[in-house]
Amino acid sequence: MSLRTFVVLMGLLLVLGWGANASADDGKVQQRRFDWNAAPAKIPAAVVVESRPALAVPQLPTIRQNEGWAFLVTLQKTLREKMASLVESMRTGEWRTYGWFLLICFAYGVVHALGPGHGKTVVVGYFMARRGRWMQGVALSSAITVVHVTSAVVLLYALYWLARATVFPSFEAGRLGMEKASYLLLALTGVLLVGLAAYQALKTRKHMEVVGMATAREMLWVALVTGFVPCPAVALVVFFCLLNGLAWAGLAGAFAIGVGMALTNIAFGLAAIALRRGVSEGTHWFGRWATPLQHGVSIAGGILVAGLGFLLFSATI
Amino acid sequence: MLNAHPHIFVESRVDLVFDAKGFASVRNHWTFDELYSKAMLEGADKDKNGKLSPAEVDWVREQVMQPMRKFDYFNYLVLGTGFVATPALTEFSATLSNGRLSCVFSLPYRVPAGPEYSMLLLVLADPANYTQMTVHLDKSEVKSPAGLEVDYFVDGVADMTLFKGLPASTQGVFFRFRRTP
Repeated sequence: MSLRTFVVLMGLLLVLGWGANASADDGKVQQRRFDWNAAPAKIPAAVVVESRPALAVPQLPTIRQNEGWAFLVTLQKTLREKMASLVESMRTGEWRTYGWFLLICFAYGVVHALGPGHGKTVVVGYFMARRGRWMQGVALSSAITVVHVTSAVVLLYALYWLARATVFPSFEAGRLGMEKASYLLLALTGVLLVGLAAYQALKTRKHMEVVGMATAREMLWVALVTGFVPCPAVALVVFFCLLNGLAWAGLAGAFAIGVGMALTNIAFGLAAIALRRGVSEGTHWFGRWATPLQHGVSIAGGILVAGLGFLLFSATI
Repeated sequence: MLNAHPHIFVESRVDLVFDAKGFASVRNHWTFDELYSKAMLEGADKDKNGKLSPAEVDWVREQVMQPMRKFDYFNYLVLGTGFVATPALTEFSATLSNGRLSCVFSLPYRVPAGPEYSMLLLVLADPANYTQMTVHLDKSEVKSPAGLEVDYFVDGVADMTLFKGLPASTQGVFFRFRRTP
Protein backbone atom coordinates (compact mmCIF):
# COMPACT_ATOMS: atom_id res chain seq x y z
CA MET A 1 0.00 0.00 0.00
CA SER A 2 1.45 3.33 -1.00
CA LEU A 3 1.80 6.17 1.49
CA ARG A 4 -0.75 8.20 -0.46
CA THR A 5 -3.33 5.40 -0.34
CA PHE A 6 -2.68 4.97 3.38
CA VAL A 7 -3.18 8.70 4.07
CA VAL A 8 -6.41 8.75 2.02
CA LEU A 9 -7.72 5.69 3.88
CA MET A 10 -6.86 7.16 7.28
CA GLY A 11 -8.52 10.42 6.30
CA LEU A 12 -11.63 8.52 5.26
CA LEU A 13 -11.66 6.63 8.55
CA LEU A 14 -11.39 9.89 10.50
CA VAL A 15 -14.26 11.41 8.59
CA LEU A 16 -16.45 8.34 9.14
CA GLY A 17 -15.40 8.08 12.77
CA TRP A 18 -16.41 11.64 13.55
CA GLY A 19 -19.94 11.41 14.87
CA ALA A 20 -20.22 7.80 13.81
CA ASN A 21 -23.82 7.66 14.96
CA ALA A 22 -24.83 10.99 13.60
CA SER A 23 -26.94 10.09 10.63
CA ALA A 24 -27.78 13.54 9.48
CA ASP A 25 -30.21 13.74 6.60
CA ASP A 26 -28.41 16.84 5.38
CA GLY A 27 -28.67 18.39 8.85
CA LYS A 28 -25.51 19.34 10.69
CA VAL A 29 -25.08 16.82 13.50
CA GLN A 30 -21.91 16.64 15.52
CA GLN A 31 -20.90 14.53 18.47
CA ARG A 32 -18.92 16.99 20.54
CA ARG A 33 -18.83 18.44 24.04
CA PHE A 34 -20.30 21.81 24.89
CA ASP A 35 -21.23 23.65 28.07
CA TRP A 36 -24.70 22.29 28.71
CA ASN A 37 -25.34 24.92 31.39
CA ALA A 38 -24.00 27.78 29.28
CA ALA A 39 -27.28 29.48 28.45
CA PRO A 40 -30.46 29.71 30.48
CA ALA A 41 -32.99 27.29 29.07
CA LYS A 42 -35.73 28.96 27.09
CA ILE A 43 -38.83 26.86 27.26
CA PRO A 44 -41.00 27.14 24.16
CA ALA A 45 -44.65 27.85 24.88
CA ALA A 46 -45.74 24.59 23.27
CA VAL A 47 -43.64 22.46 25.61
CA VAL A 48 -44.99 21.35 28.99
CA VAL A 49 -42.25 21.12 31.58
CA GLU A 50 -43.18 19.58 34.90
CA SER A 51 -41.45 20.72 38.05
CA ARG A 52 -41.24 17.38 39.77
CA PRO A 53 -39.01 16.38 42.66
CA ALA A 54 -35.68 14.83 41.85
CA LEU A 55 -35.82 11.49 40.11
CA ALA A 56 -35.56 9.31 43.14
CA VAL A 57 -37.85 7.03 45.04
CA PRO A 58 -37.77 7.47 48.82
CA GLN A 59 -35.08 5.25 50.19
CA LEU A 60 -33.28 4.43 53.36
CA PRO A 61 -30.02 6.31 53.84
CA THR A 62 -28.17 2.99 54.01
CA ILE A 63 -29.15 2.10 50.47
CA ARG A 64 -26.57 3.49 48.07
CA GLN A 65 -26.66 2.58 44.45
CA ASN A 66 -22.92 2.62 44.08
CA GLU A 67 -20.49 0.59 42.00
CA GLY A 68 -20.80 -2.41 44.34
CA TRP A 69 -24.53 -2.40 43.78
CA ALA A 70 -24.00 -2.15 40.02
CA PHE A 71 -21.80 -5.25 40.22
CA LEU A 72 -24.53 -7.19 42.05
CA VAL A 73 -27.07 -6.18 39.41
CA THR A 74 -24.82 -7.31 36.58
CA LEU A 75 -24.13 -10.56 38.38
CA GLN A 76 -27.88 -11.22 38.71
CA LYS A 77 -28.31 -10.59 35.02
CA THR A 78 -25.52 -13.02 34.17
CA LEU A 79 -26.93 -15.69 36.49
CA ARG A 80 -30.42 -15.27 34.98
CA GLU A 81 -29.01 -15.73 31.48
CA LYS A 82 -27.13 -18.82 32.62
CA MET A 83 -30.32 -20.22 34.15
CA ALA A 84 -32.19 -19.72 30.88
CA SER A 85 -29.50 -21.53 28.87
CA LEU A 86 -29.37 -24.41 31.38
CA VAL A 87 -33.15 -24.81 31.20
CA GLU A 88 -32.81 -24.98 27.43
CA SER A 89 -30.18 -27.72 27.84
CA MET A 90 -32.42 -29.69 30.19
CA ARG A 91 -35.31 -29.32 27.80
CA THR A 92 -33.27 -31.01 25.11
CA GLY A 93 -32.47 -33.89 27.39
CA GLU A 94 -29.14 -32.83 28.88
CA TRP A 95 -30.00 -33.65 32.49
CA ARG A 96 -26.34 -33.53 33.45
CA THR A 97 -26.78 -29.77 33.69
CA TYR A 98 -29.46 -30.14 36.39
CA GLY A 99 -26.94 -29.81 39.23
CA TRP A 100 -25.50 -26.69 37.67
CA PHE A 101 -29.00 -25.24 37.33
CA LEU A 102 -29.68 -25.72 41.04
CA LEU A 103 -26.30 -24.26 41.95
CA ILE A 104 -26.92 -21.19 39.78
CA CYS A 105 -30.38 -20.82 41.34
CA PHE A 106 -28.84 -20.96 44.80
CA ALA A 107 -26.22 -18.32 43.92
CA TYR A 108 -28.92 -16.16 42.36
CA GLY A 109 -30.92 -16.39 45.61
CA VAL A 110 -27.93 -15.29 47.70
CA VAL A 111 -27.18 -12.30 45.46
CA HIS A 112 -30.80 -11.37 44.82
CA ALA A 113 -31.55 -11.14 48.54
CA LEU A 114 -28.57 -8.83 49.06
CA GLY A 115 -30.53 -6.11 47.30
CA PRO A 116 -33.17 -4.06 49.08
CA GLY A 117 -36.22 -6.06 50.10
CA HIS A 118 -36.67 -9.65 51.29
CA GLY A 119 -37.13 -8.62 54.91
CA LYS A 120 -33.58 -7.92 56.03
CA THR A 121 -34.46 -4.52 57.50
CA VAL A 122 -37.51 -5.98 59.20
CA VAL A 123 -35.43 -8.75 60.77
CA VAL A 124 -32.86 -6.23 61.97
CA GLY A 125 -35.58 -3.91 63.31
CA TYR A 126 -37.38 -6.74 65.08
CA PHE A 127 -34.27 -8.05 66.81
CA MET A 128 -33.33 -4.55 67.87
CA ALA A 129 -36.77 -4.19 69.43
CA ARG A 130 -36.83 -7.66 71.01
CA ARG A 131 -34.04 -9.78 72.45
CA GLY A 132 -33.58 -12.96 70.48
CA ARG A 133 -31.70 -16.22 70.66
CA TRP A 134 -29.45 -17.32 67.79
CA MET A 135 -31.91 -19.99 66.67
CA GLN A 136 -34.70 -17.46 66.68
CA GLY A 137 -32.63 -15.36 64.28
CA VAL A 138 -32.28 -18.32 61.96
CA ALA A 139 -35.98 -19.17 62.31
CA LEU A 140 -37.38 -15.72 61.56
CA SER A 141 -35.00 -15.06 58.65
CA SER A 142 -35.80 -18.44 57.11
CA ALA A 143 -39.54 -18.14 57.73
CA ILE A 144 -39.74 -14.84 55.89
CA THR A 145 -38.01 -16.42 52.89
CA VAL A 146 -40.18 -19.54 52.98
CA VAL A 147 -43.34 -17.40 52.93
CA HIS A 148 -41.91 -15.09 50.24
CA VAL A 149 -41.00 -17.98 47.90
CA THR A 150 -44.08 -20.09 48.64
CA SER A 151 -46.48 -17.22 47.97
CA ALA A 152 -44.81 -16.68 44.57
CA VAL A 153 -45.14 -20.35 43.61
CA VAL A 154 -48.75 -20.64 44.86
CA LEU A 155 -49.90 -17.43 43.16
CA LEU A 156 -48.17 -18.35 39.90
CA TYR A 157 -49.69 -21.85 39.77
CA ALA A 158 -53.12 -20.55 40.74
CA LEU A 159 -53.00 -18.03 37.89
CA TYR A 160 -51.62 -20.64 35.51
CA TRP A 161 -54.73 -22.74 35.99
CA LEU A 162 -57.14 -19.84 36.15
CA ALA A 163 -55.92 -17.45 33.46
CA ARG A 164 -53.13 -19.03 31.48
CA ALA A 165 -53.17 -16.35 28.76
CA THR A 166 -52.39 -13.55 31.16
CA VAL A 167 -50.42 -15.29 33.90
CA PHE A 168 -47.60 -12.84 34.32
CA PRO A 169 -49.55 -9.57 33.90
CA SER A 170 -52.07 -10.99 36.40
CA PHE A 171 -49.23 -12.01 38.71
CA GLU A 172 -47.87 -8.45 38.61
CA ALA A 173 -51.30 -6.98 39.31
CA GLY A 174 -51.84 -9.37 42.22
CA ARG A 175 -48.39 -8.68 43.61
CA LEU A 176 -48.93 -4.93 43.62
CA GLY A 177 -52.13 -5.33 45.64
CA MET A 178 -50.45 -7.69 48.09
CA GLU A 179 -47.53 -5.28 48.44
CA LYS A 180 -49.79 -2.50 49.64
CA ALA A 181 -51.46 -4.73 52.22
CA SER A 182 -48.12 -6.07 53.38
CA TYR A 183 -46.60 -2.62 53.81
CA LEU A 184 -49.56 -1.39 55.82
CA LEU A 185 -49.42 -4.45 58.08
CA LEU A 186 -45.68 -3.96 58.43
CA ALA A 187 -46.18 -0.36 59.50
CA LEU A 188 -48.78 -1.55 62.01
CA THR A 189 -46.35 -4.17 63.30
CA GLY A 190 -43.72 -1.49 63.80
CA VAL A 191 -46.16 0.71 65.69
CA LEU A 192 -47.03 -2.27 67.93
CA LEU A 193 -43.33 -2.92 68.58
CA VAL A 194 -42.86 0.74 69.52
CA GLY A 195 -45.90 0.51 71.80
CA LEU A 196 -44.61 -2.64 73.46
CA ALA A 197 -41.16 -1.13 73.98
CA ALA A 198 -42.68 2.06 75.43
CA TYR A 199 -44.94 0.01 77.74
CA GLN A 200 -41.92 -2.00 78.87
CA ALA A 201 -40.02 1.21 79.55
CA LEU A 202 -42.79 2.55 81.75
CA LYS A 203 -43.21 -0.54 83.89
CA THR A 204 -39.57 -1.60 84.21
CA ARG A 205 -37.76 -1.28 87.49
CA LYS A 206 -34.04 -1.06 87.92
CA HIS A 207 -31.96 -4.22 87.41
CA MET A 208 -34.84 -6.06 85.75
CA GLU A 209 -34.53 -7.59 82.32
CA VAL A 210 -35.45 -4.45 80.44
CA VAL A 211 -36.07 -5.73 76.93
CA GLY A 212 -38.82 -8.16 75.96
CA MET A 213 -37.89 -11.48 74.41
CA ALA A 214 -38.87 -12.45 70.90
CA THR A 215 -41.72 -14.96 70.86
CA ALA A 216 -42.76 -17.59 68.32
CA ARG A 217 -46.16 -15.97 67.84
CA GLU A 218 -44.66 -12.54 67.12
CA MET A 219 -42.10 -13.99 64.74
CA LEU A 220 -44.76 -15.93 62.86
CA TRP A 221 -46.75 -12.73 62.41
CA VAL A 222 -43.70 -10.78 61.25
CA ALA A 223 -42.78 -13.56 58.80
CA LEU A 224 -46.29 -13.64 57.36
CA VAL A 225 -46.79 -9.89 56.91
CA THR A 226 -43.27 -9.40 55.54
CA GLY A 227 -43.00 -12.45 53.35
CA PHE A 228 -46.40 -12.85 51.80
CA VAL A 229 -45.57 -10.45 48.95
CA PRO A 230 -44.64 -12.96 46.23
CA CYS A 231 -41.14 -12.81 44.78
CA PRO A 232 -41.33 -12.02 41.03
CA ALA A 233 -37.85 -13.45 40.47
CA VAL A 234 -38.91 -16.85 41.78
CA ALA A 235 -42.15 -16.68 39.81
CA LEU A 236 -40.28 -15.96 36.58
CA VAL A 237 -37.91 -18.90 37.03
CA VAL A 238 -40.75 -21.29 37.93
CA PHE A 239 -42.88 -20.07 35.02
CA PHE A 240 -39.97 -20.30 32.57
CA CYS A 241 -39.37 -23.93 33.55
CA LEU A 242 -43.09 -24.69 33.46
CA LEU A 243 -43.42 -23.33 29.93
CA ASN A 244 -40.44 -25.44 28.89
CA GLY A 245 -42.12 -28.57 30.22
CA LEU A 246 -39.88 -28.74 33.29
CA ALA A 247 -42.31 -28.07 36.11
CA TRP A 248 -40.40 -30.10 38.70
CA ALA A 249 -37.11 -28.42 37.78
CA GLY A 250 -38.84 -25.08 38.32
CA LEU A 251 -40.01 -26.06 41.79
CA ALA A 252 -36.55 -27.38 42.67
CA GLY A 253 -35.07 -24.15 41.32
CA ALA A 254 -37.45 -22.13 43.49
CA PHE A 255 -36.32 -24.17 46.50
CA ALA A 256 -32.65 -23.54 45.68
CA ILE A 257 -33.28 -19.81 45.24
CA GLY A 258 -35.11 -19.83 48.57
CA VAL A 259 -32.18 -21.52 50.32
CA GLY A 260 -29.83 -18.88 48.90
CA MET A 261 -32.10 -16.03 49.95
CA ALA A 262 -32.51 -17.53 53.42
CA LEU A 263 -28.74 -17.71 53.81
CA THR A 264 -28.44 -13.97 53.19
CA ASN A 265 -31.37 -13.19 55.48
CA ILE A 266 -29.96 -15.39 58.25
CA ALA A 267 -26.66 -13.51 58.13
CA PHE A 268 -28.53 -10.26 58.73
CA GLY A 269 -30.71 -11.83 61.44
CA LEU A 270 -27.70 -13.13 63.36
CA ALA A 271 -25.90 -9.81 62.96
CA ALA A 272 -28.93 -8.02 64.41
CA ILE A 273 -29.03 -10.36 67.42
CA ALA A 274 -25.32 -9.87 67.97
CA LEU A 275 -25.83 -6.12 67.75
CA ARG A 276 -28.67 -6.21 70.27
CA ARG A 277 -26.57 -8.32 72.65
CA GLY A 278 -23.67 -5.95 72.22
CA VAL A 279 -25.92 -3.03 73.07
CA SER A 280 -27.21 -4.84 76.16
CA GLU A 281 -23.66 -5.57 77.33
CA GLY A 282 -22.32 -2.16 76.41
CA THR A 283 -24.99 -0.10 78.11
CA HIS A 284 -23.89 -1.36 81.54
CA TRP A 285 -21.01 1.09 81.23
CA PHE A 286 -23.46 3.97 81.24
CA GLY A 287 -24.62 3.41 84.84
CA ARG A 288 -28.04 4.85 85.50
CA TRP A 289 -28.46 5.63 81.81
CA ALA A 290 -28.15 1.96 80.88
CA THR A 291 -31.85 1.18 81.22
CA PRO A 292 -33.12 4.22 79.25
CA LEU A 293 -30.54 3.47 76.56
CA GLN A 294 -31.78 -0.09 76.16
CA HIS A 295 -35.35 1.10 75.91
CA GLY A 296 -34.24 3.67 73.37
CA VAL A 297 -32.72 0.98 71.16
CA SER A 298 -35.89 -1.14 71.44
CA ILE A 299 -38.07 1.79 70.46
CA ALA A 300 -35.67 2.59 67.59
CA GLY A 301 -36.08 -0.99 66.32
CA GLY A 302 -39.85 -0.57 66.29
CA ILE A 303 -39.56 2.79 64.56
CA LEU A 304 -37.31 1.21 61.93
CA VAL A 305 -39.96 -1.41 61.12
CA ALA A 306 -42.83 1.11 61.20
CA GLY A 307 -40.87 3.66 59.17
CA LEU A 308 -40.01 1.07 56.54
CA GLY A 309 -43.66 0.03 56.30
CA PHE A 310 -44.89 3.61 55.89
CA LEU A 311 -42.08 4.47 53.46
CA LEU A 312 -42.83 1.45 51.27
CA PHE A 313 -46.56 2.06 51.41
CA SER A 314 -46.14 5.71 50.44
CA ALA A 315 -44.10 4.59 47.40
CA THR A 316 -47.01 2.43 46.18
CA ILE A 317 -49.68 5.17 46.15
CA MET B 1 -41.56 -2.00 44.96
CA LEU B 2 -39.23 0.54 46.46
CA ASN B 3 -35.72 0.00 45.14
CA ALA B 4 -36.80 -3.46 44.26
CA HIS B 5 -33.56 -4.91 42.88
CA PRO B 6 -34.12 -5.77 39.24
CA HIS B 7 -36.58 -8.45 38.21
CA ILE B 8 -36.68 -7.50 34.54
CA PHE B 9 -33.59 -6.84 32.41
CA VAL B 10 -33.72 -4.73 29.28
CA GLU B 11 -31.01 -4.06 26.70
CA SER B 12 -31.83 -0.75 25.06
CA ARG B 13 -30.81 1.95 22.63
CA VAL B 14 -32.35 5.34 21.98
CA ASP B 15 -32.25 7.49 18.87
CA LEU B 16 -32.88 11.22 18.81
CA VAL B 17 -35.09 12.17 15.89
CA PHE B 18 -35.38 15.72 14.55
CA ASP B 19 -37.64 17.06 11.84
CA ALA B 20 -37.98 20.42 10.10
CA LYS B 21 -39.67 21.97 13.17
CA GLY B 22 -37.12 20.87 15.74
CA PHE B 23 -36.73 17.97 18.14
CA ALA B 24 -39.42 15.46 17.21
CA SER B 25 -39.09 12.29 19.26
CA VAL B 26 -37.03 9.73 21.08
CA ARG B 27 -37.03 6.37 19.34
CA ASN B 28 -36.64 3.54 21.85
CA HIS B 29 -35.33 0.07 21.00
CA TRP B 30 -35.77 -2.39 23.86
CA THR B 31 -34.98 -6.12 24.12
CA PHE B 32 -36.20 -7.96 27.21
CA ASP B 33 -34.40 -10.80 28.96
CA GLU B 34 -35.30 -14.37 28.08
CA LEU B 35 -37.24 -15.23 31.24
CA TYR B 36 -39.45 -12.16 31.12
CA SER B 37 -39.90 -12.50 27.35
CA LYS B 38 -41.07 -16.09 27.69
CA ALA B 39 -43.47 -15.15 30.49
CA MET B 40 -45.08 -12.34 28.48
CA LEU B 41 -45.09 -14.18 25.18
CA GLU B 42 -47.09 -17.00 26.72
CA GLY B 43 -49.96 -14.53 26.68
CA ALA B 44 -48.97 -12.59 23.58
CA ASP B 45 -48.25 -15.29 21.02
CA LYS B 46 -51.73 -16.79 21.10
CA ASP B 47 -51.37 -18.95 17.99
CA LYS B 48 -47.93 -20.16 19.18
CA ASN B 49 -46.37 -19.66 15.77
CA GLY B 50 -43.33 -17.77 17.10
CA LYS B 51 -44.39 -14.57 15.36
CA LEU B 52 -46.47 -11.66 16.52
CA SER B 53 -49.53 -10.70 14.48
CA PRO B 54 -50.87 -7.11 14.61
CA ALA B 55 -53.41 -8.18 17.26
CA GLU B 56 -50.66 -9.82 19.30
CA VAL B 57 -48.50 -6.71 18.99
CA ASP B 58 -51.42 -4.73 20.42
CA TRP B 59 -51.55 -7.17 23.32
CA VAL B 60 -47.84 -6.54 24.01
CA ARG B 61 -48.40 -2.80 23.85
CA GLU B 62 -51.23 -3.02 26.39
CA GLN B 63 -49.72 -5.57 28.77
CA VAL B 64 -46.00 -4.78 28.60
CA MET B 65 -45.71 -1.09 27.77
CA GLN B 66 -48.91 0.44 29.11
CA PRO B 67 -48.07 -0.30 32.79
CA MET B 68 -44.85 1.67 32.26
CA ARG B 69 -46.79 4.77 31.20
CA LYS B 70 -46.93 6.04 34.78
CA PHE B 71 -43.14 5.68 34.97
CA ASP B 72 -42.68 7.72 31.76
CA TYR B 73 -41.49 4.55 29.98
CA PHE B 74 -38.27 5.26 31.94
CA ASN B 75 -37.49 8.11 29.53
CA TYR B 76 -36.64 11.36 31.29
CA LEU B 77 -36.12 14.44 29.16
CA VAL B 78 -34.76 17.47 30.98
CA LEU B 79 -35.33 21.00 29.76
CA GLY B 80 -34.24 23.78 32.07
CA THR B 81 -34.79 22.62 35.63
CA GLY B 82 -37.69 20.28 34.98
CA PHE B 83 -38.80 17.23 33.05
CA VAL B 84 -40.66 17.57 29.78
CA ALA B 85 -44.08 15.91 30.13
CA THR B 86 -43.89 12.43 28.63
CA PRO B 87 -46.27 11.91 25.70
CA ALA B 88 -48.08 8.65 24.94
CA LEU B 89 -45.97 6.30 22.88
CA THR B 90 -46.46 6.04 19.12
CA GLU B 91 -45.12 3.95 16.23
CA PHE B 92 -45.06 0.83 18.37
CA SER B 93 -43.85 -2.47 17.04
CA ALA B 94 -42.89 -5.74 18.71
CA THR B 95 -40.98 -8.72 17.41
CA LEU B 96 -39.73 -12.03 18.70
CA SER B 97 -36.18 -13.16 18.02
CA ASN B 98 -34.12 -15.91 19.66
CA GLY B 99 -36.68 -16.20 22.43
CA ARG B 100 -36.46 -12.54 23.29
CA LEU B 101 -39.16 -9.93 22.98
CA SER B 102 -38.08 -6.68 21.31
CA CYS B 103 -40.16 -3.51 21.31
CA VAL B 104 -39.58 -0.35 19.31
CA PHE B 105 -41.55 2.81 19.96
CA SER B 106 -41.37 6.58 19.74
CA LEU B 107 -42.07 9.25 22.32
CA PRO B 108 -43.00 12.40 20.37
CA TYR B 109 -41.89 15.13 22.77
CA ARG B 110 -41.83 17.89 20.13
CA VAL B 111 -39.60 20.78 21.13
CA PRO B 112 -39.52 23.43 18.39
CA ALA B 113 -36.21 24.85 17.19
CA GLY B 114 -35.45 28.57 17.40
CA PRO B 115 -32.53 30.77 16.46
CA GLU B 116 -30.94 30.14 19.86
CA TYR B 117 -29.80 26.75 21.13
CA SER B 118 -32.27 24.65 23.12
CA MET B 119 -30.41 22.48 25.63
CA LEU B 120 -31.85 19.10 26.55
CA LEU B 121 -30.77 15.98 28.36
CA LEU B 122 -32.21 12.50 27.93
CA VAL B 123 -31.80 9.81 30.59
CA LEU B 124 -33.18 6.30 30.30
CA ALA B 125 -33.44 4.54 33.65
CA ASP B 126 -35.87 3.02 36.12
CA PRO B 127 -35.43 4.90 39.40
CA ALA B 128 -37.35 2.18 41.26
CA ASN B 129 -34.88 -0.38 39.93
CA TYR B 130 -37.56 -2.98 39.18
CA THR B 131 -36.41 -2.97 35.58
CA GLN B 132 -32.70 -2.86 34.93
CA MET B 133 -32.14 -0.74 31.83
CA THR B 134 -28.80 -1.41 30.19
CA VAL B 135 -28.59 1.53 27.80
CA HIS B 136 -26.13 1.46 24.94
CA LEU B 137 -25.86 5.21 24.45
CA ASP B 138 -22.76 4.72 22.33
CA LYS B 139 -25.06 3.22 19.71
CA SER B 140 -27.52 6.10 19.76
CA GLU B 141 -28.30 7.65 16.42
CA VAL B 142 -29.13 11.29 15.92
CA LYS B 143 -31.18 12.02 12.82
CA SER B 144 -31.66 15.59 11.68
CA PRO B 145 -32.91 17.19 8.46
CA ALA B 146 -31.36 20.16 6.70
CA GLY B 147 -31.81 23.51 8.38
CA LEU B 148 -30.90 22.36 11.90
CA GLU B 149 -27.67 22.25 13.86
CA VAL B 150 -27.42 19.52 16.47
CA ASP B 151 -24.59 18.81 18.90
CA TYR B 152 -24.60 15.99 21.42
CA PHE B 153 -22.41 14.05 23.79
CA VAL B 154 -22.80 11.28 26.35
CA ASP B 155 -21.82 11.82 29.97
CA GLY B 156 -22.66 10.78 33.55
CA VAL B 157 -25.53 12.42 35.40
CA ALA B 158 -24.75 11.29 38.94
CA ASP B 159 -23.81 14.78 40.14
CA MET B 160 -27.09 16.32 38.96
CA THR B 161 -29.71 16.97 41.61
CA LEU B 162 -32.52 15.74 39.37
CA PHE B 163 -30.95 12.30 39.16
CA LYS B 164 -29.58 11.87 42.66
CA GLY B 165 -31.46 8.61 43.20
CA LEU B 166 -29.96 6.79 40.26
CA PRO B 167 -26.88 4.58 40.27
CA ALA B 168 -23.60 6.45 40.02
CA SER B 169 -22.89 4.90 36.63
CA THR B 170 -26.04 6.32 34.98
CA GLN B 171 -25.37 8.25 31.79
CA GLY B 172 -27.45 10.52 29.63
CA VAL B 173 -27.36 12.15 26.20
CA PHE B 174 -26.76 15.90 26.45
CA PHE B 175 -27.83 17.67 23.30
CA ARG B 176 -28.57 21.09 21.89
CA PHE B 177 -30.10 22.25 18.64
CA ARG B 178 -31.12 25.38 16.76
CA ARG B 179 -32.14 26.52 13.33
CA THR B 180 -29.11 26.97 11.12
CA PRO B 181 -28.32 30.71 11.08
